[in-house]
Amino acid sequence: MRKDYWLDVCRCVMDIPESGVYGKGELDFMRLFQGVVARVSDGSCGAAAFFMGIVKRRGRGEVGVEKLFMESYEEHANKALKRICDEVMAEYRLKFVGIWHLVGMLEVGEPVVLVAAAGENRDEVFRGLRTAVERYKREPALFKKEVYIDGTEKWLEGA
Amino acid sequence: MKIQTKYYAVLRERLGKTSEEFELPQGSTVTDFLEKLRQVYAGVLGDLFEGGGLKTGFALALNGESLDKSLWASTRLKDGDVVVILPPIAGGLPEAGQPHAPLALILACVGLLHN
Repeated sequence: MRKDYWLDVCRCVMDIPESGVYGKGELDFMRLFQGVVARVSDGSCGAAAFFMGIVKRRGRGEVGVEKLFMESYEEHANKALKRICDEVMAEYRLKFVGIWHLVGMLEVGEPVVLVAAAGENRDEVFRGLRTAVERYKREPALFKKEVYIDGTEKWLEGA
Repeated sequence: MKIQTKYYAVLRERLGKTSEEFELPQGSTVTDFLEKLRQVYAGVLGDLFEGGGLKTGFALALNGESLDKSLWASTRLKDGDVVVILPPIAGGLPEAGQPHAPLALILACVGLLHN
């Protein structure tokens, strides 16, 4: 890898938005990815891992998913996401944890959430990332409706 | 006293509104609020109530924080409080043999130093 790669990355550092829910179009996941990498490239971290949730075709209905509608009670969801990040950082002694979730109507194949974890050792980073992912699916007030290719739709229940 | 509520997902769709304000007597509890809601919307939301509370899967938040069901009867509301019924929160389905499988993929693991 080019020696100046990380310098290039650092040049495009942006202020990383706080963990929380954002409307579609308010976040650029690739810029976010670069921002996190730049944030954790100060020598304090030995590993960073990322999880991206993507809208998939196979849902819980009889026919394929056309779109996914995500809705949130933002006050609750934002508090919950920040709390998950803080608690996972403390539990696994990580340097950075972030969760950014989109709301609105999303197409199949579109990313809907990005979770990032970084720390000194990969074992803690992987375990912390997994915990953050499982918790974001259960705790924040995020509600999901699948819209199917035949025009029917269904609010989903249960993690 | 005035208690605010907001409606999300299936509640918002059934009621055709996103928020509402209810007048409750001083000293009312969260359970009293739910009873009020059940009375007002018995026809539209009746199936969401069960045994004096909410159907399994539904939860409740007070001023933006989840409130455990065991506290609903003892939690007294104050003027201006915001009580929100939370429809079931839908994460990904567990996959066979993997109780907590992630929905999508691990995008990248970047080895930065000696990890």
